[in-house]
Amino acid sequence: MNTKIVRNPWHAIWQTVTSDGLLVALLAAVAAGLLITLWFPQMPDADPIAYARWLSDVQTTFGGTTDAIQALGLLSITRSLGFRVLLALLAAILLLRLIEQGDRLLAQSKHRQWALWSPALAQVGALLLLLGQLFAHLWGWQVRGLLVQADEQATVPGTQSWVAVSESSHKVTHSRGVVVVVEGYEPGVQVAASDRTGRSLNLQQTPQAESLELLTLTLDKERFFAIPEAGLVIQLAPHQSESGDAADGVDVRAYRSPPGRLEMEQVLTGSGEVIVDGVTLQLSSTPFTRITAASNPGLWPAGLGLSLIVVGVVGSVLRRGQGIPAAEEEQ
Amino acid sequence: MTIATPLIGIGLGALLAAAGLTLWDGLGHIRGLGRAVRAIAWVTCAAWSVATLFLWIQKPDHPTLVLQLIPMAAVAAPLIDRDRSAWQNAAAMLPTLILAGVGLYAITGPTHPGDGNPDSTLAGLVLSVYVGLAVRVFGEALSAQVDPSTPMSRLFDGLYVLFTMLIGGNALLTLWQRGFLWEGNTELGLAGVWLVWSGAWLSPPRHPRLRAALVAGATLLLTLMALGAM
Repeated sequence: MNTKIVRNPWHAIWQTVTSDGLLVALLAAVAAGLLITLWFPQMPDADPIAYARWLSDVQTTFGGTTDAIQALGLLSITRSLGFRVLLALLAAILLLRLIEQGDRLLAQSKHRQWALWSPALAQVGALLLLLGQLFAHLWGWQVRGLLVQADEQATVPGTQSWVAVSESSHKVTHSRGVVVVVEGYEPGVQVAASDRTGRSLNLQQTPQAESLELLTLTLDKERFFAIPEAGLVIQLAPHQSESGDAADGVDVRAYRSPPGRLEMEQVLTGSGEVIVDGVTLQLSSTPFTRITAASNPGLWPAGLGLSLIVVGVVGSVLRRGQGIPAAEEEQ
Repeated sequence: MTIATPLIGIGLGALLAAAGLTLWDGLGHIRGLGRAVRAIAWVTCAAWSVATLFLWIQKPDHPTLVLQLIPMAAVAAPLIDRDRSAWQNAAAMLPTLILAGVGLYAITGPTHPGDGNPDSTLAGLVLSVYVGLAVRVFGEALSAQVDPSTPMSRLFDGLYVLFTMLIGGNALLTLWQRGFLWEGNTELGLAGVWLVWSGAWLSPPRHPRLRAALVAGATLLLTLMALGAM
């Protein structure tokens, strides 16, 4: 007697997409993408200085093969379309597995139901984490290296948010929903100039820049500005000791322009005055705080997701340790 | 040369002898040899533990690599299991032998003494112990490649739980402090290793070789990352 087995193709597809094998393959593929970042430094986004430094490092490391590696997308793997498709597939598979587990939860007797909760929690957590990352990508932003002067409210470029630092307590305040990290402190200086009569002179950083009576400069590197009315160019640089180490104070040099002759050279510690050819330069020390500001609308889903993953994984391992077979093994 | 060097050498020699005797025992069972091999393996563990103590007492005199490798080897050392075949036990010893071999080469070879990081802290030692346990799981995975019917030990589960808690806790902290997750390449790499480990844990029991291969891959990557080779 012939027995005819009728297979439902939809059932077979469902079993395949919710199988552990497919999930393991997807996890391995996503892991491979992440591990590539260990060998190939990833391209920084939206920061021209960091990009220039990264490009120089990459060209030094990989030499002539840099273009080929870049063309293969290995230097921007986590932002590539392929990696995003993988993450989308992972989210879809997790969702389908969750539906299947919900179905199985209802079918199980009550005393066995708890055994299915742990893997379900881990999967809900993974979905929330992916959702949080999607929110962060779509609506989140991060600004690095923002220099904020003490007791001044600085607007984060390209956003409506603000950050302020108190000079006395170094306390950072910011608008709602912004996460702020203080990366360090930079020396800075406020400069004003006046002539013999006490009249304020205009200062200009570049020929195109606006003329200002009070100029605020960071002193992380040497800075130049001109006093056009007095025909002077001033150079300010962080003072270095004879051994080349950073030391307290500012090196002030004044050049006659033209012809570019050095008129005066002086080291100024803290705030004070420097007089050159009847022009009085008033310098007052103004420290800056270097800040990274970020806004991530996916912070709460991602945080909750991470917590659920940890709880779910620990629960699943303990459950297996107690000899309760996993749902997959029951099948 | 410090007192740690001969201790590392003695341990390495003892473990090589243990591996050789294990294989000999496997060719034709010799009464009492298994017990002797287990004893030799414990001697190895003791020699490397004492060597670790001396290395950490004289931290700045030794290369950083040695400070990391020898505690790892000491933790991973006694891998003789009565329920396993001789080939399985020999395969399980292989990663430990490599670690100790590289450690001995680094302490006696061209690396200048004194390039050890004097700032090495207790956290570094704890990391070495954790990775040593991971190397032991790597040995088990190699052993499972010889005979796929051998189940992974509870150590694999325990380390997975610990790794999940460490990665999850660190990620939560980063998220709260900096607002974003996994900004650095190392953090992304560790997340990748965790995913491989999760894949191993989830892999169907009917494919033990796949599980063993994933465990081997995850632990090897973790070891290389801890040694700063990646």
